[in-house]
Amino acid sequence: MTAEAAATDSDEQQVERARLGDRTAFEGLYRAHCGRVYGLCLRLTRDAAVAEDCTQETFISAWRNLARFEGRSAIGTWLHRIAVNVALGRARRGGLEVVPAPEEDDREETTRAVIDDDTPPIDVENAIASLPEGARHVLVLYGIYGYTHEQAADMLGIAVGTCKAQLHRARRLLRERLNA
Amino acid sequence: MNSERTTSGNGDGDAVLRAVGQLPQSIEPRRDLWPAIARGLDQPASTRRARFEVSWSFAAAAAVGCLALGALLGYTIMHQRTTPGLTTDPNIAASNQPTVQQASFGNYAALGPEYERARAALVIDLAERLDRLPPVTRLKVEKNLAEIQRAVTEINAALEQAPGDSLLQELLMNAYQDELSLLAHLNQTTGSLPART
Amino acid sequence: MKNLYVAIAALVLSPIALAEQPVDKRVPADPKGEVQVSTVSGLVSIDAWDRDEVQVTGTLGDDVERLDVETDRERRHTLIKVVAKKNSGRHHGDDIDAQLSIRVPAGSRLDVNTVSADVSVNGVRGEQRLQTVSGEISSDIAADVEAKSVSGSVVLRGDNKPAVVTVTTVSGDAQVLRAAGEIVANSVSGALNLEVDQITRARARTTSGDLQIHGTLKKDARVDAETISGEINLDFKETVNAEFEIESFSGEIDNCFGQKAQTTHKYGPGSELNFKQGDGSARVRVQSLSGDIRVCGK
Repeated sequence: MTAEAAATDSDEQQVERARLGDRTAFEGLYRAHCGRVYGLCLRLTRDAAVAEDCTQETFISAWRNLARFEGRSAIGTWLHRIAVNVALGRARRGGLEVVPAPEEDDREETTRAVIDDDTPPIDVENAIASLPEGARHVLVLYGIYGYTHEQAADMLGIAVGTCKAQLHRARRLLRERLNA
Repeated sequence: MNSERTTSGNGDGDAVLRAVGQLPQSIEPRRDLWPAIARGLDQPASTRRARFEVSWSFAAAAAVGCLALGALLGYTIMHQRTTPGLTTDPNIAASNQPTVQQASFGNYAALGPEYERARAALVIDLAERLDRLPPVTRLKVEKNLAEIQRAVTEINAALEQAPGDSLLQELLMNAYQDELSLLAHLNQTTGSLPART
Repeated sequence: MKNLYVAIAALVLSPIALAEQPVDKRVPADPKGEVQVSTVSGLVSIDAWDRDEVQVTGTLGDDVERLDVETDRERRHTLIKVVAKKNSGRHHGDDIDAQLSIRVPAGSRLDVNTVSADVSVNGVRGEQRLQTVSGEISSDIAADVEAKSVSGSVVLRGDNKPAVVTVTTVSGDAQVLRAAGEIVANSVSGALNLEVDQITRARARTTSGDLQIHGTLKKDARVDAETISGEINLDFKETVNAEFEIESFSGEIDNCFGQKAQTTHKYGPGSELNFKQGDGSARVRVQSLSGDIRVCGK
């Protein structure tokens, strides 16, 4: 955790300087957090170009709202909150996506393997991308980024109970799809 | 780039969550986004703010019987004269849904474009989804969808007699919510059924 | 329910037909793990036992390719899944039949999904999620239970211990007996018959089905009951301490507390009944469009 601690220390300093209008400091923050913000945007929106827009808009919005950042959470979490808002707002403006359930008629009748930890990441990413929106959002925040149910529910604007139900659903669907 | 994982304890004892937890948190974009961001910092604040709104898609995706939905909306339906057949939503107009009335009630619009879109999205798939059900069950479902439609019609008729009645408005909103929940429930239930050959 | 007993009897008594494949599988399982079952038609009968194992016995019909019974490394998840033959399901899956008798550790959590198979659960103490399209659902309430069906009926039996019960049907009737604590029940045309002790929260809604709630209210309880045209009957068994807000547009409001309903509009339909009984600590809200409402208690 030392790398994280070191980054946080310099994060705080950079936030303070950026708040005063120091663009170089803000660029430093961007460099430090861009990957995590883009990673979240990408998994929420499932499109690289949209995710790039989402990332840009997140940082621009962060710059404009730095005065509001009170330092109660880590800057990375705050950036993620903004990113979730941006990603969801974009999805809504573009019309709701309806993710059809995967067609089951060409089920492969292969021997089913037990889920093991050696599942290659690319399969897991694809499986996550195929999940319905609600379940996917919760799974990404909770499972990849380690937010609690309360945090994820708050970021997504849903009830904690819904969040847990979505996670349950996501786990079940993933288990099925990873085994297929 | 810091890619240390926040330790969260999430996913203990679950292979799926462990596999998910091993995915990288940080992904590099294809290109450097800083120049575009720097340009954006110069521009005046856009009037288009990323407001956080209620998402009907989450509501639809959530479990049926999520009565908190009514509370989330936070506004009441204002009475409107019902004008059958008037809808500008191309999705609804274009779909040929014998079992579900087109959103002919102006009241759908009062629930917001979000609701209309959520409902339209579910309704589009509906005919094909119902097809996956065994005929006896399908008939029951269609009958029940019609029940809700009838309830909505009755409430609207009552609203003409007593406009602004808060009980009726609440019943009406709940009926729309019930219909959306039902459509979502059907969507979820039939989603894993094989398509009819 | 009768069909269920007949089906179980058939499973026990009938000789196994030559065309059917017998099943007998057993895997180790965590005493508090999750057991997931996915079948199409037939019967899923789940009983608790005190072994750290999941056992599946029964028979599989013609259109079933095989039954998968899998478990993860820690044995915390057991998946029991009917795999259909390719090109099956032409006749709505009735031939994808599996008569399954499953024994699970008593502390297991259940996640059961069927299309038309009936589901019967006995003695399982973990949380349950039971879903069918047209199958009947019958289970005990130990921990939280969620039962969902389209046209199948639901019967849940508790032993008056607090839990969160969620029941959703479209046309199936739902009966909840000896529950306690929190209940959420929804149906379109199914009848809801709910017996809940020490209610903390009860929310029940139907469009045209009748709705009955019998029980007792905890202090600060909240009860919300609504139908469009179904009849609503609330019957509280002990002394009631609650504020009542009852409204119906064109249905009749009747009560045992000696209160009289008022009309809400001078020249139109609509009646309401608002009163406080006892110390008024709980809140009971009842609404209908045209369904008659009756509220009784001590």
